[in-house]
Amino acid sequence: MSERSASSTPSWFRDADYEFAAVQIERLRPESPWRKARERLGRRASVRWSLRFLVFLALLSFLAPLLPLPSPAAITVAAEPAPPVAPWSAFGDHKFVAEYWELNPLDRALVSLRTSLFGKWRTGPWLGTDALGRDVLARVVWGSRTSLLVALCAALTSLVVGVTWGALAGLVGGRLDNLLMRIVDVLFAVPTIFIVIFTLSFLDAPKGAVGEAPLLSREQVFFLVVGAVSWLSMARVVRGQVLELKRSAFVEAARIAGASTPWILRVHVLPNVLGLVIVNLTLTLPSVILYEAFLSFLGLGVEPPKVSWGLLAAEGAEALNPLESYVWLIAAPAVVMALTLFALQTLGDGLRDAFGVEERSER
Amino acid sequence: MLRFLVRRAAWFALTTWVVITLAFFLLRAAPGGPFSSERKLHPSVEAALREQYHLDWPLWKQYLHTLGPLNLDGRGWLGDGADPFGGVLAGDFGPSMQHRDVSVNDVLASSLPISITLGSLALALALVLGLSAGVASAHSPGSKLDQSVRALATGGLVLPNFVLASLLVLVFAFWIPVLPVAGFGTPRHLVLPSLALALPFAAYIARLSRAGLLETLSKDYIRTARAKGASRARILWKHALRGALAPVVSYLGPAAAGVLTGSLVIERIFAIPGAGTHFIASALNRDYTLAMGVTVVYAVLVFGFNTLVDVAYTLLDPRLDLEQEA
Repeated sequence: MSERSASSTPSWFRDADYEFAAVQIERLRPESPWRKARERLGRRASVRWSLRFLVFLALLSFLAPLLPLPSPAAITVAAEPAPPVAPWSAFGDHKFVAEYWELNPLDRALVSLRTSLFGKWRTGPWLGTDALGRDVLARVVWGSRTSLLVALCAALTSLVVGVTWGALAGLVGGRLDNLLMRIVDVLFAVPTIFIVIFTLSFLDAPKGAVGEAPLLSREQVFFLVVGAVSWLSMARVVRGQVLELKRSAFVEAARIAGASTPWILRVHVLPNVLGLVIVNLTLTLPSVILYEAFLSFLGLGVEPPKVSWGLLAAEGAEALNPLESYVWLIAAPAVVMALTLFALQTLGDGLRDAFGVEERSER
Repeated sequence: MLRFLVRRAAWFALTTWVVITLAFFLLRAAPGGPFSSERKLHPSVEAALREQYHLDWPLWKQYLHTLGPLNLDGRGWLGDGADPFGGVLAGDFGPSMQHRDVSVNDVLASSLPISITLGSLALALALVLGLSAGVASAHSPGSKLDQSVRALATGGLVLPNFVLASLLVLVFAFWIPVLPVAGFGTPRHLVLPSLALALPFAAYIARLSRAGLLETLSKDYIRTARAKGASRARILWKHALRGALAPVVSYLGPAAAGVLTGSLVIERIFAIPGAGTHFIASALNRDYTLAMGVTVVYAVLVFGFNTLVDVAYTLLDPRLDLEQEA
């Protein structure tokens, strides 16, 4: 770019002038929204800590089979839940038994790696045990896998379906826009919980109808359903932003300057939509994790012996009674859930401020 | 306004039709039926039952009969004198398939008022608590009060409502036994459930109203009012609040849907005989008619409330035009 314009400059235009102009242009060039956002984001300690916590949690839940935790599913006969024991009074013992539900090959490999690394050693009941003698810490760590996977699944759906849907409606406009958005409107008006409960109850074949093998496992349908209900607001937000950009002065200027449509999309529209998408995504995740808890409480979530935070919290809530307070059963999942959602929210708020997106209620 | 309402009515019809159709076909597509329970019925009994509920008909005929308002069961298009009309569009959901000898309308008539009482109480509570917390917080940003309100609001947003409910029960029924643990009947029974249902929404409303107020308070017209000598309280309540309310009002639509959803959980925890308990049970038991009834009623409630919210929105901000919004 620079050589061509330099060679085509008339002779009365001196090099010094050209250099001065180039410096001026470089100085006045608007900063990329990404760099600006990153700078603003990095300045907040709360955002940095939230990010660290979330990365730590993701690692922990991915590496759960590798950690020297007791088995989350091994049932020992116990009369009642045992309270937490401090790590310094009972650090661990050598009674580990590898008892899990059906694991995928990767997790099986991790488990065998764990047995070769730690042998039969396992941590003590630092967070207590539940009524079936299962270690609460192990269950919380393993439960994080379900909850985070649900969140990830919803994020992917709203990223793929929601963004495509909204972008298509906004870009093409006209009849197609009308059609796509009316579909979203109707789906918004249909209370999503019905679709969820109906779909999930497909697999809950009544006891009389044994033998009808379901097409998908209940867990797969659960993930699909949660994903399916979480893309609507994303589609709306993206469409609104794309429409706004289409009408904006700088896109018009680019078009007048002769830029091609793919160029405009890549350079002008995409970066400006992405910030909004990321913000919307981080604000969707907490509600999805809460939704998982809600479904688990109603008995529509993952099936035991698998665990999720929602299931643990529901079990804890049921174990509360006036005579014996097994508070740790509800406190453990509630605290990690609260911390995770708090971190996500802090991150989302930070991103929103960094990208300069307004707070709107999800409509 | 009239045009808006007419268009809304058209939307309402379309949405209701989608809900009915979805509910009908999803339920029929699910494995099992209302009579395939753990106690296996004699085939002839089951056939008789299926015939009584028209489950032996072809699907399209069942669908049209369920939809109504025309009768297809051979008693004439409009039914006979004792049992006129029929079908969902006529507001008649038919007999329940699980609760013998009871019509779905009876079930709804006994359980829905309870749910609506609880839901509207929770919504009012959320509005009052959230707004007062938001106003108090925005009155002196950065103060101790503001900080504690924000911390509490965060607490309400990061916990599932059944955990909140259990905490409330633990504190106010077990440790300080002032309120009943569960049940329904007296106003005291309503305190904990409506509070547990309201808290997450109150937290979000507090957040929204705080942000809205702080933004409005930095506007020029507020400075003008201050320059003219209006008192702090007058500026806050009279000038600023109206402008700051818009996001809160538009949140009320989703909040109402959320309260309905949340009541499924809260009714179960506090053993309240509302419509929420029927909702899940009917879907799992394949009680086709009852599931259809509860679904349609909930959808209508949510839609009606959203329309009310949109009307309230324009009353609050006359610049908005409903005809364009529709």
